[in-house]
Amino acid sequence: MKIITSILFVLCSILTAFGQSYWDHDEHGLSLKMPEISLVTVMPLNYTVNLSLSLPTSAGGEPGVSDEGRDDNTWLNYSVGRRANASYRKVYAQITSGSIPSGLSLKLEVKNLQSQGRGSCGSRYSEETFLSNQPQVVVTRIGSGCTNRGKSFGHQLIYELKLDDINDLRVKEPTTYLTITYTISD
Amino acid sequence: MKPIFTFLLIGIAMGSSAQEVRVRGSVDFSFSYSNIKAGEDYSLETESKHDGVRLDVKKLKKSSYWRIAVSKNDINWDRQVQIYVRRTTNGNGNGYVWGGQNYSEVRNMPATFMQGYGILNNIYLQYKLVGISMELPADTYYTDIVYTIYEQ
Repeated sequence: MKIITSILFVLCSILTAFGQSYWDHDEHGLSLKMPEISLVTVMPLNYTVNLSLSLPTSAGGEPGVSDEGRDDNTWLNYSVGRRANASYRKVYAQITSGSIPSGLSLKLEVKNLQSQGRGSCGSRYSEETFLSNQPQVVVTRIGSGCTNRGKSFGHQLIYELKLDDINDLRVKEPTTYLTITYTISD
Repeated sequence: MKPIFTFLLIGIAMGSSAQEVRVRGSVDFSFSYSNIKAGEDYSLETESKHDGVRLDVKKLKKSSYWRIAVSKNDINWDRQVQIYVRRTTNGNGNGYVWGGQNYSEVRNMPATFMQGYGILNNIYLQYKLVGISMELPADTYYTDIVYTIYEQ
């Protein structure tokens, strides 16, 4: 009996010794959720581009394009958060209301980034685009990143009114209003 | 008689319990469209609530002096984002605590975060993330924050 008691005592002592570790730990979770985001805007906000076709300087001359037919005061800004290995984003431009008078066209030139953005920003799709009511890619290969916000950040937009053919020129109203919409998507 | 004696011995063994650290709560950082405008990046730093997680020190055994180390165990974490922690309260109980009032970086290797004496409850912890950016791929990132108590 004494032997059994002694064995039990030794076992309990061993258990006690193991129980007396001088450390303990506990933990909790921490998470960070980064969503997929695609945001685009044109800066400055609420700016209206005004383009005019200049009058002929002499009888028999054609209406031409002057500085009044060109505007380089707007900038395309965007922020994109996409999943790793997801497809690149693109920016499309299209005329969503109004129409260009016949005989004229509206050229858009999108400049590449002139100031450093953050992350993987895109590049222009082509040197020039003639805007229509169909969406056309103007910036491509946008990864996760942002251009920064404001005038002089992102892609400079240059609009130019072009006279295509004077024979087709039909101006019903002295002023034509257009809405140009930029959309960012896959 | 014999079983009583046996159970008494086992009871003594089990009763000499080790010191304990317990943490309650979790921290979830989340961003959405409402946090930024087009062209902008996220704020580089963001902080959790000052009382999102609380830590208790219990059942000390001997001298009652202790230190707590903090580390992280990554499940899916981006090294671009650093985690910092600090305590925002002294806790309550019969002990006291020092250190840990300024943000310390939480790394994968344990590093001493704070030290103290005696039993304390409700030491609140606040977290800060540094390195948040649009460059970070969209995903939900997870890590476990581990607190280890060493009785001294």
